[in-house]
Amino acid sequence: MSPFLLDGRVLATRYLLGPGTDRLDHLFALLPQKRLFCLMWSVAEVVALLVRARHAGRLTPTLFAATMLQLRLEVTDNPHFDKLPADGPLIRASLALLQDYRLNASDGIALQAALWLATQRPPPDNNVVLVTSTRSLLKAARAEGLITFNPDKQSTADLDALIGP
Amino acid sequence: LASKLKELEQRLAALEEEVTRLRQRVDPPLDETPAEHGARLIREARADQARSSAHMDRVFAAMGITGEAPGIEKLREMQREHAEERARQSRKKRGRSQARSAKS
Repeated sequence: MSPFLLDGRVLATRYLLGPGTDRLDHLFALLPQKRLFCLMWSVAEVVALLVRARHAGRLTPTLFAATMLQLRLEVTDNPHFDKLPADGPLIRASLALLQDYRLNASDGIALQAALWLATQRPPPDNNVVLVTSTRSLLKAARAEGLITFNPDKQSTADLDALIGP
Repeated sequence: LASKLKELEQRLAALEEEVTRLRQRVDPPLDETPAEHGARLIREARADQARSSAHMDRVFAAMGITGEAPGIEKLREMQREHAEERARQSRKKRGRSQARSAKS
């Protein structure tokens, strides 16, 4: 069973209503939590987006607090949802990907983490579903042989097929 | 004496193992394979989880956030109500602006 690595923007759509929110809700409802991964860095990206939304008036202070508490429950305090560290070796290894695929720094790190994560299981389960809506990252991940899911464009039926029985 | 030596030997072996583990954590070897990198990331994520709750208590206290998570269904309900309220206010504002334009 493939693990799913969520990038920061996608993880944020679980907490801020957007085009892919229903698919993210579907993923969280159906996927066993031990198959969920993100980078700890992505958690910071989500918090930054929530803070920005609060300052822009898209979230009231009450709604912001409720959203942060939900993020804490589901992600930061959830021992089954692994938050991978974006450490020195990961960042260094991602540098070549930035040139190869013209990615931004966060996307390069997410792709490198997905590639390393893919080494953790024997075939045929040695693949990772990289969940992102960033076009350049989707393209790069596919070129590296990873499976991708774009919650902005793909359906819940597509997602079900990736989650498996 | 023999049993004490044996015990010391075991404790030393455990200590060496721990030092190696900590050294790898602080300074991972340059020749790690992708599989070793992946395993290390997962291991570190799990080790960090144990410290995470205490850290998050401090972060949330600093942000002035207390209480329990509402649950995803309640959160969705709150978000939809807020989105509707914002849409209502936006329509109202637009209406006032159109009325002003019509007057002038």
